[in-house]
Amino acid sequence: MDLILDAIWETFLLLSQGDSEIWSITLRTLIICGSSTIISFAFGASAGFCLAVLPFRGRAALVTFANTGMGMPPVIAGLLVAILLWRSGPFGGLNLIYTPIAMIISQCVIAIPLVAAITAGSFMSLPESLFLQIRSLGAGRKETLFLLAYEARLGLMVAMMAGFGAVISEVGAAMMVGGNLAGDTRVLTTATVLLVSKGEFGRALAYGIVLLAMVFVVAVILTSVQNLARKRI
Amino acid sequence: MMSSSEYALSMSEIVVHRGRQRVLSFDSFNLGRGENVAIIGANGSGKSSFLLAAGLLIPSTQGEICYFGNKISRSNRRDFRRLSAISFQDPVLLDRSVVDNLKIAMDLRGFEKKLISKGAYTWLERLGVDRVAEKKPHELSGGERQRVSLARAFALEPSILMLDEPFTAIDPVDKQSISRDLHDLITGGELSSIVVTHDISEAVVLADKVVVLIDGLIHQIGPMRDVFHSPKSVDVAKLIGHTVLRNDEARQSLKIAGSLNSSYETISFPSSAISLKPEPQGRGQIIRYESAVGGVVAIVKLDGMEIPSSISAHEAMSIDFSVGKNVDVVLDQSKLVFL
Repeated sequence: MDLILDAIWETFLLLSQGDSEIWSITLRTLIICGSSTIISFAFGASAGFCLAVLPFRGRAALVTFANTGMGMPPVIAGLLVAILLWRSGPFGGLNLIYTPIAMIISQCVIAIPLVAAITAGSFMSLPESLFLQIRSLGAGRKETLFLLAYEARLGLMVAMMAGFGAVISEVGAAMMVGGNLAGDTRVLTTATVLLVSKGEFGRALAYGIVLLAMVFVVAVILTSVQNLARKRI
Repeated sequence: MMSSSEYALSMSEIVVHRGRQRVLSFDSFNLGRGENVAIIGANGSGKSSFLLAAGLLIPSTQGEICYFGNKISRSNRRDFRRLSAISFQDPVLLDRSVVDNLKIAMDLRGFEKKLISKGAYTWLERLGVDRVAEKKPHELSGGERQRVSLARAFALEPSILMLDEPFTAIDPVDKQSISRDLHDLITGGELSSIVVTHDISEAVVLADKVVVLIDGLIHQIGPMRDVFHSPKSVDVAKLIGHTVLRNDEARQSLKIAGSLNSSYETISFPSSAISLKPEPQGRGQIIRYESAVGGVVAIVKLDGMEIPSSISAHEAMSIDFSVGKNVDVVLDQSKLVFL
């Protein structure tokens, strides 16, 4: 019991005194995970749209592949990226292993199939007649994309939330390709793992609370936008 | 014979597949300028596919489509698509305000920006939905949604208007008023139209020519009156609501005079060809009422056959024509069709 109370007290002190290490790791986490989310959404949503709308051979197989990717264990994604970026690997010459870029790449590998699958589902749930109606109005590809994306906006927001949730919560891949280097690739999740292994539960709990708060704030913002959109339907 | 340039739309040697299934296959269909054509057929007969192919929204597997004499190809399909406007069975509106639905559509068609707003409100007013201009689609009734969809189609000032089952999703009161407005808008002008329907009464109101589509094949095509009075096959006769009977069985029961047409195997007639007279000793007996093309029909049992007869709802409620009553059955032989 003392352990828990001590940890909570230490957490309170760290957060109230504005511990610089916590905030620098938080900022780094936001930058890395934010970048991963934006890139994943750009690629994943585009892929999802193509999977849902474009008729091509093998589409069903690709949708299945994307759905499978939704459940991809982060360590597998990390392993794949580590092999590719390892100094003796095919892209070793780029010297990306143990850098924030490597972490972003591995997080994208985790999130893109998730975003693609949810996006594809959102577009597929729109009635076929909507697509035909938009084309009958004379819309080109770009106009069709924007009009359909607006109609599927709730699903797209869910996809973005899911992508962010996946990248901010994963630890295996970040540890494997980032190396948890202090001041460079250490983010809230990897820092928490390290602190727990060292028995520093107070600081670990503080990191955990910041992580939770961050996810909560993002979820509140996206949910508010989603509710606003839903009210307008 | 007219050349394809004299038609608003001409389709020849058309085959359309949806997936692996062949859904349409016909030699020729022409829509004259200013002509109003109804495509009738049962569910699954290929009516909607016909409209989508004619509207250049699905490709035909083979065949040639021309708009105003211009052959449609992959490269010009989008340009010619802009000559037509389609209103679907279940009105498809964007999740925007009603007026924005029209404005977006007009913008996509390249209308001048300064004319868009005025044009949108003008057509909403003509279709009687200007009061809901700022509402969202989910706030509208079925009739209002259909009117907005039609207003959008007309606002595009198409040369060819295509309507897919325009009255399916609306109640009878709205149906009557919308059909009246539609009739006024599409007949007597330059606008050519195709109305897809399974309801013969809609075809009668909105078209002067009819195409009968059965299992993706055109079974009969011609002026409305010709098709209704002279169906060319048993399938067409059934589709347009005729009663089809074996000639030899019907001849005696219905007291068909003369032997001139006795060699035909089958006869058909519309339910309006049969009239009923209250008669306690009559050979026919009313066994039930059914809703049918054009209103209510009384089903009369006569020598083991079930014969439908058009009857007004008012008459159907009278004691003389209640279920179980005996009646005399009189056939208007001028309406008989021998098949």
